[in-house]
Amino acid sequence: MNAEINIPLLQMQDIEKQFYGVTVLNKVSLDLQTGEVLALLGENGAGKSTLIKILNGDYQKDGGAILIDGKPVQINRPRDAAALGIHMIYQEQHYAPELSVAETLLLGKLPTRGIMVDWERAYAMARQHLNMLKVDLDPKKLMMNLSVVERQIVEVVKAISGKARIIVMDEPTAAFPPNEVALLFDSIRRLIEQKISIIYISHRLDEIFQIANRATVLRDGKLVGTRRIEPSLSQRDLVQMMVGHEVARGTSEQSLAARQTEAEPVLTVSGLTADGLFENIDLHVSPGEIVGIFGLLGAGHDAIINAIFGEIKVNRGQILIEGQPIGITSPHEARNQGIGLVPADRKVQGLVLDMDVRENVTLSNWSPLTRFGFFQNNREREHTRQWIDRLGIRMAGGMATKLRFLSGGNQQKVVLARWLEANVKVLMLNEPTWGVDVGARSDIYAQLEAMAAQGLAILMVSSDMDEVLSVSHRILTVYRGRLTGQFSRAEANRENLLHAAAGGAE
Amino acid sequence: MSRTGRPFALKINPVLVLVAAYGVMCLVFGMVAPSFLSLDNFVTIGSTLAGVGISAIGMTLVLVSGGVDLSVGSVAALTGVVASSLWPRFAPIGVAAGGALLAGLLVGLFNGLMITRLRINPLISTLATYSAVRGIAFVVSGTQDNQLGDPAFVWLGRGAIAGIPFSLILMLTLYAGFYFVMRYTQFGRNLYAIGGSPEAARLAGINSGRHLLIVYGLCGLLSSVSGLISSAQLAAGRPLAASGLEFAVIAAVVLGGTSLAGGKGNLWGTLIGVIILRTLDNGLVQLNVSSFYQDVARGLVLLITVGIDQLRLRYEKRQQPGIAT
Repeated sequence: MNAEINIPLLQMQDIEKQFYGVTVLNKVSLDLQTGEVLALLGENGAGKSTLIKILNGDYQKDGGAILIDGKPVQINRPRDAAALGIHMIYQEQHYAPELSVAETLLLGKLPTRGIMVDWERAYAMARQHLNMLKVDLDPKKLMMNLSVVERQIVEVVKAISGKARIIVMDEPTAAFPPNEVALLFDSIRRLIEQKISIIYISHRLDEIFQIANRATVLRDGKLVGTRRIEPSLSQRDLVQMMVGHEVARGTSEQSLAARQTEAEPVLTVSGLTADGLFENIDLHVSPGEIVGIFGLLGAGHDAIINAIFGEIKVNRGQILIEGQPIGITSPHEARNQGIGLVPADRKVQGLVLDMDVRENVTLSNWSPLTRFGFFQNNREREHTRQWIDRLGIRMAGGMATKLRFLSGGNQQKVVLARWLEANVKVLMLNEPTWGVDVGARSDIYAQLEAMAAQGLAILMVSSDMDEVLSVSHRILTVYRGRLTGQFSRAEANRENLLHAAAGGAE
Repeated sequence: MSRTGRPFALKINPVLVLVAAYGVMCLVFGMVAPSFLSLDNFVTIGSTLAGVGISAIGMTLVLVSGGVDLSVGSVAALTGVVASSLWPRFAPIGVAAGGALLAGLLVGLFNGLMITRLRINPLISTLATYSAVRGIAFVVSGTQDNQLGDPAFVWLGRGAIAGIPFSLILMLTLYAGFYFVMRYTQFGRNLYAIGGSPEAARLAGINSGRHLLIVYGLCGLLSSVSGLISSAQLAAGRPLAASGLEFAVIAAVVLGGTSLAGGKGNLWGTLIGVIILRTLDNGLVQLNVSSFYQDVARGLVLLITVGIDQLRLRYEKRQQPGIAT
């Protein structure tokens, strides 16, 4: 309690930031006391990452001030932040797999005797660092033989051995298997004992309640408020702060309901399990139905559709198409069963960038366009033209334009066109509008709705809540590889979705 | 973003650049050695194309699909050796030639299996067969040249129809056929997709493994045809034949604009690449340049053309519009 009276270790005051004229941070302030864990909360796009990138010198603020120990500081680049004792730990881990723990911790400053590395001393130093957090790890172990959690902890140890005073953790547990979070939390508690302060970013409310002292909530680039984590505060209160007021949404439920109840499911999945990724997934999609799977980053929701597409090996469970059990072990077989996937990373996984629009559209389905294995140019052009018109694909040089030269939204439309051309029964989409501009986004949504109306079954995975809410007829939520909720379009709102997807208890 | 002042050589169609370069080269040779520009000489050049050119078809398929095959020279040698070992003692010439082609096909399929099933990098797996198959050729031949003097067989290499070497006609027919396969069939198009973006091709439902197996099989078979024509021209099967063929073939294909990174290239360019390299050899011989300098010249030509290609690639990459995120 004493710390409250003292000058905060870190103050960020009225921070402003714009990108290309769009305000992403609007006078956001936070303060961090010595030896506390401050949770930074907000939906995707609320401005959390931008704020910490400004703190780390990755971005320059357009307005506001940063104070450390009450004195204003200039942070122009990451090196400045490091000199002030600010250390970032990111969700994706960057490490050299072949290096030992000791080498990782002492990178660039290994003790030497003459030109030889003094390994005795190196291991002793590493052990000393590890002991600061009471971590029982063999410094000779190679990084690649550690678990994700252990690697994360090595990162933390490295931070404090570099005299960090403030450690920012961005979704540190996103890649953790369940039940191993406690290990990290032990380390965090030891950091606190040593008067090191932590800014902890997570979507997982249960974690916040376990580890944080206070929570600062952002929404749409603005500060909503800061709350002390105490028994009187509930997870629902925080969710309410994150999502703000419920946005009204137009619905046309009757026709939908009719469509769903009549039809037999095309795709049924029961008890699907891939160890370490997801467990016991049951779901079904009927013709004409758009089912959205919502999860926060790292929830494992995307692994489910990758498994259905034969990209991830499943350990247990069944996939049925029109009631027939099928065994899919490759995308090739999935396509032959009438399943298509629009992958998340369209540039690497979705498209051949050096091929043109026509060639990309017909990549997955050629039989109707060829005679004796040879393409019939006119028919191919005709089909491509039809999709270009229908989806509103815009490009500078006609259908002979290489995909490299299309914008993100138009590229995504080409991937979509390919599966529609392939005439699949089930279309799965992974984050269909990542990096897609607003105009193309609504084109894509409209097309999905139109295709569903013609009987296509659509299964969409997304971490974008607005997208899930506006497109899906039915929504499933995933938290740590398990289904945690099912909502009809009428039931679903931002609050109960986020609550279920953050693993929140009722 | 946009940079003006793009070098002239990058502005025009790369195939036209090659044709123009070829014309200049012929003129220079013609000025120094007048006999170079005679019709006879061009027929001679034409008769030397098939040995490299037919194998280069296979190599184009392989490079476009994103791989490489270093074993083509060894396969060509093995072909001649197998044919000359079977004929005349064990089989008539037709069967011997068929057996030789089969051997080439099998080596190619073996390459394909190592690459697709065991996931061994193509450079390594075909380096292994490059060495092993050459060794087998020595073992099978008893380390010596064996006669292949059947007149009908020799005609394949030396004969002509209406003054045009048969080997040239065969080669051009194969180029025409595979040109259509690569350009107008799903198989050909899939190769570009696999080479251009293996991940996207797989996720589009293309059975990449089977495509690659066929491609390496074809490369082996076509290199075998090259080897057969060469041994017909020599009227012998030599275990040392076609040494360095892999260099000549890869050089010709790359010269023709096919990217080593995969997904790019066409047979039209390869054909011009083969003609340029063979003409260069011929011209240098007529100038009485020692064979060591010929090697130097070949190396330089390759460096220059690939250098230009890299510049073009970098230019194209820079053209990529910024994509909103």
